[in-house]
Amino acid sequence: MASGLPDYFRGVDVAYQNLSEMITRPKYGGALMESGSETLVPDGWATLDLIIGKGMLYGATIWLDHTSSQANSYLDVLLDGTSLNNISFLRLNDYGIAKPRSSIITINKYDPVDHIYSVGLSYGLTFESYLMLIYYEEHNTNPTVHYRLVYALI
Amino acid sequence: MRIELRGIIQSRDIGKTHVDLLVTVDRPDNYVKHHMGVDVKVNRGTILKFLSDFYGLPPGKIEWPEHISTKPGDIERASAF
Repeated sequence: MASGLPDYFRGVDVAYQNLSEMITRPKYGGALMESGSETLVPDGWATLDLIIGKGMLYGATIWLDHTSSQANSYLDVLLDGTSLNNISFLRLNDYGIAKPRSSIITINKYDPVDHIYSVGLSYGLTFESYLMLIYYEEHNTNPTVHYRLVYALI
Repeated sequence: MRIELRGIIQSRDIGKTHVDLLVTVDRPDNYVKHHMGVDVKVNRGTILKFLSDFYGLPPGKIEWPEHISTKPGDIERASAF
């Protein structure tokens, strides 16, 4: 908790404050967006996007074209070498992991009839060296995956 | 002129990898994004050459922060849950 001269005696001036703690935040560059589409090989995986640097994710959406079932496929996001998701579309839907920021990846739409699947990434994730977005196909088909990712780098 | 590399972005689109570079020019908050190319080799040498050619500076004058590596670790496929 801050102590020293109260702010109502003078304006905020760190030189006059006795602060027990000071939190600084890095200055981020402007928002950037990456987007694209990738058709996978059966039972394969693809790196959709690789962002090398320090930064913060503002949000991302990944969706599939209408193909066949992709219920057991999943999207992974790696931050600084750590894999943060291996939960399939099916499980995300079964357990209702759909509320933004309740998990790293949340399901936006799960339609096993028309084969529409869409997931989102929570905003506010920071990374120190890289962010990698990977799609894993588990059905021996070749779906086309679309992604849109907004972020900033320091 | 002070050029510092701040990021390397490799995005897949329709079977190709688009490579972009983010740099700061003269000021730490003056970010500029460059499209380096499609399906180009990404390593320290190719990036420094691209920026060196673009800005007319010797490669040694391009600043490269320690946290930026062109080779993130190998990825092992995780089991789906």
